[in-house]
Amino acid sequence: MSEEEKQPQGNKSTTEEHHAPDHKEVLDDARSRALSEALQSSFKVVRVLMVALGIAFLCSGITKVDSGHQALQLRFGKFKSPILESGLHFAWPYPIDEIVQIPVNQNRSITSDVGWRTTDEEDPQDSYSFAPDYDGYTLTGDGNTVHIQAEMNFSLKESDQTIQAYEFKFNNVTNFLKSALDNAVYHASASRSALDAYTRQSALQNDIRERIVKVVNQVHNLPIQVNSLALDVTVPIGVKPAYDAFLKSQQESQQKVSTARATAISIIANAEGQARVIESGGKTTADRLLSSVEAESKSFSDQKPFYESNPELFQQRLVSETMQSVLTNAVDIFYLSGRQPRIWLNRTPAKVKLKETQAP
Amino acid sequence: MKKNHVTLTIGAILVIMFGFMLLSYQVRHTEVAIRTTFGNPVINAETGKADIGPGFRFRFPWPINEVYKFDNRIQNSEWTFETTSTTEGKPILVKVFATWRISNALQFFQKFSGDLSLANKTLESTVRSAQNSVIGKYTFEQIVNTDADLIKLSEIEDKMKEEVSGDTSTYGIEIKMVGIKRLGLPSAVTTAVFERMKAERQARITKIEAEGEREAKMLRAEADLKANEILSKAEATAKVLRGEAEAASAQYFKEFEKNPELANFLFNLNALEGSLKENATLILDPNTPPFNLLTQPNKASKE
Repeated sequence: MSEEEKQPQGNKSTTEEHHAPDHKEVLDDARSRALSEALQSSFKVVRVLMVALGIAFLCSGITKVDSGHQALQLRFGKFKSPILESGLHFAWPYPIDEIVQIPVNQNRSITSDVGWRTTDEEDPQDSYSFAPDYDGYTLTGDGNTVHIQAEMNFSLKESDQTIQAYEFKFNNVTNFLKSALDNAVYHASASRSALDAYTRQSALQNDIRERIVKVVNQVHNLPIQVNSLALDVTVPIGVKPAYDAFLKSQQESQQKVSTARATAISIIANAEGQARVIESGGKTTADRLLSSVEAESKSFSDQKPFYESNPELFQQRLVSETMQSVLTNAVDIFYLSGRQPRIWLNRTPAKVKLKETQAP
Repeated sequence: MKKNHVTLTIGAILVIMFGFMLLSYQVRHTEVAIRTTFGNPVINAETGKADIGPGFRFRFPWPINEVYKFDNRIQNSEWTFETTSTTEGKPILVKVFATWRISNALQFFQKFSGDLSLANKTLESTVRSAQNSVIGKYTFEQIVNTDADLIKLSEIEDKMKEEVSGDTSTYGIEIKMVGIKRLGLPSAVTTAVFERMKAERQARITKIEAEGEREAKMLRAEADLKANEILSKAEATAKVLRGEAEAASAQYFKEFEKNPELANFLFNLNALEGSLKENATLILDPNTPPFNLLTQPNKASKE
C-alpha cells in the first residue's frame, strides 16, 4: 500500500481513541476515496491498453511475403513500386498501406467444358440429337459436331506488368480466362473438319494455344505463359462406330500402301543389287579378257623365238602336251582298230557307268 | 497536468482521424472516382474529364462534396445461348461474351448511376442487336469452314465489337472484345447432322479402300519399272565395259601379227584344250599320235 492509502487508516484509529466518532460521515468519506482509487487504477489500465493497441495498430501493416509469392503494395490505394519479393516488409497500417500477395510460381488451371459436358455436369451422352440447352458440343468447319474439353495450365510471367495486370486489371480474371479458352476452342473447331479435330489433336491444340495468346496476351495485354493444354476430343457417341470403322479402314489402307511401299523398296533394292552384280560381272569379264590377252601376248612373245628356231619340233612338243592333258581329262576314248572299236575308260570311271555294266 | 497531456493527445489523434475521414478519401488502384460539388461534377481542367485516378485526395465534407467510386477493372459479361439466322436463313445458336471497362466515369455515372448490373443489362440488349445484325450478313459457310480463306469468324467478332462500341459510345464504357463463346445448331438439325456424319464416313471408307489399292498397285508398278531400268542400265554398262576391254586388248594383237602362223597354232591349241577339258568323249584313229606308238612303234618314233 502507498503512503496516501495508508494515511486515512491512521487518522481513523486516532479519532476513534480521542473523539466521539460520527460513523456515517466516516463511511461516506471512505467510500468516495475507494471509488476514486478504483477509477484511477482503471484509467491506468485503460491507458496501458490504449498504448498497446496503438502499437499493435502501427505494427499491423508489417507483412511477411511467403516464399513463391510476390506482393503489391498500395499506399492510399495507389500502387507503390517496386513489387515486394518474399520476406518481411514494413508497411503502414490500413487504410494507409495495403499489401496484396500473389503466388507467382503457382501452376494455375482453367477448363473449358462448354463443348463437352451436359448441364448436369456429365460426360457426353448418346442421343439422337443434341439439345442446345443441355448438351455440350462444338461445330466443326464441315458443319458437323464434336465434343471438346480443354484444360489449360498456365503461370504468370514474372514481370511487374503481369502481376499487376493479373491482380488489378480484371474484375474476375478466372471468368475472363474461361471465356477466352471457350472462344479459342470454338474458333479452332470451326476451322477444321470433325475428322481432323478427332484425329489430329496436336494441330487443334496449337490453334487453341495461338488463339489464347492472341485474346489474352495481345488484346487484353495480360502476359500469361501457357504451360500445357490437355484436350479430350470425341465425335458424338452415336456416330463414333462409323468414325472408328473409317479409322480402321484408313489404317488398313495405309497398311496396304506401306506394305506396297516396302515391297517397292525391296524390288528396287534387289534390282540395284542385281545391277551391281551385272556391272561387276561385266567388269570382271573385261578385266579377265584384257589380262588373258595380255598374258597370251606375253606368252606368244616368249615362245616365238623357240618356234622360229624349229617350228616342227615346237609344234610337236606342244601338241603332245595338249594331247596328254586332253586324254587325261577325257571320260571315254574310242579308237578304231580294225573292225571292232575299242573303248578306253578313264582312270576314275563314274560309278553310274559301272552299275550299268553290272546290272544285266 | 501529465494525465491531461495523455488524454489530450489521444483525443487529438481521434479528432484528426475523424477529420481525415470527413475531409479526405482515397481511390484504390482498381477504381475510378468522380467528385461532385453541390451535385455538380468537378472537371479536371487539364484532362477535361471528371475521372479521378488512384491515390489520396482531400474534399469538403458532405453536403458540399460527394465522391462516387466505380470498379475500373475489365468486366466479363456473357449472355444466353440464343438462335439467330445467317444471311441464307439458316438458324444457328450463338452465345457471345464481351469484355469492357469504364472509360469515362462521369458518363457512366450519368447513364447508369454507377450501377454495374444496370450497365450489364443495357449492354445485353446492345450486344444481342449487334449479334443478330452482323451474323445476318454472313453465310453459314463463313461462320464454319475448313478453308481458312473463307471462314470469317474473327471478322464477325470484330464487326460485332465495332457495332457495340458505336452503340455504347455515350455510355462511358470501352468495349475491349466481343467474342463467340459457343456455337450450336437447333436440335432437329443435329439429328440430320448425325446421319450425314455416318453417311460421309461410309462413303469415305469405300473411297479410301479403293485409293489404297490403287496406290499400292502404282507403287509396285513403278518399282518394277524402275528395277527394269536399273537392270537395263547395268547390262548396258557391262557391255560397254566389255567393249572397252576388247578395244584395249587390240594393242596386244599387234604382237600376234608378228607371226600369224604361230599365233593361229597357239589359238587352236588353246581352243582344243579348252573344249575338251571336262567330260569329253574322244573317238580317235589309232594312227593319231601318240596312239600310233601302240601300232607302229618304229614309224611313230621316226615321225
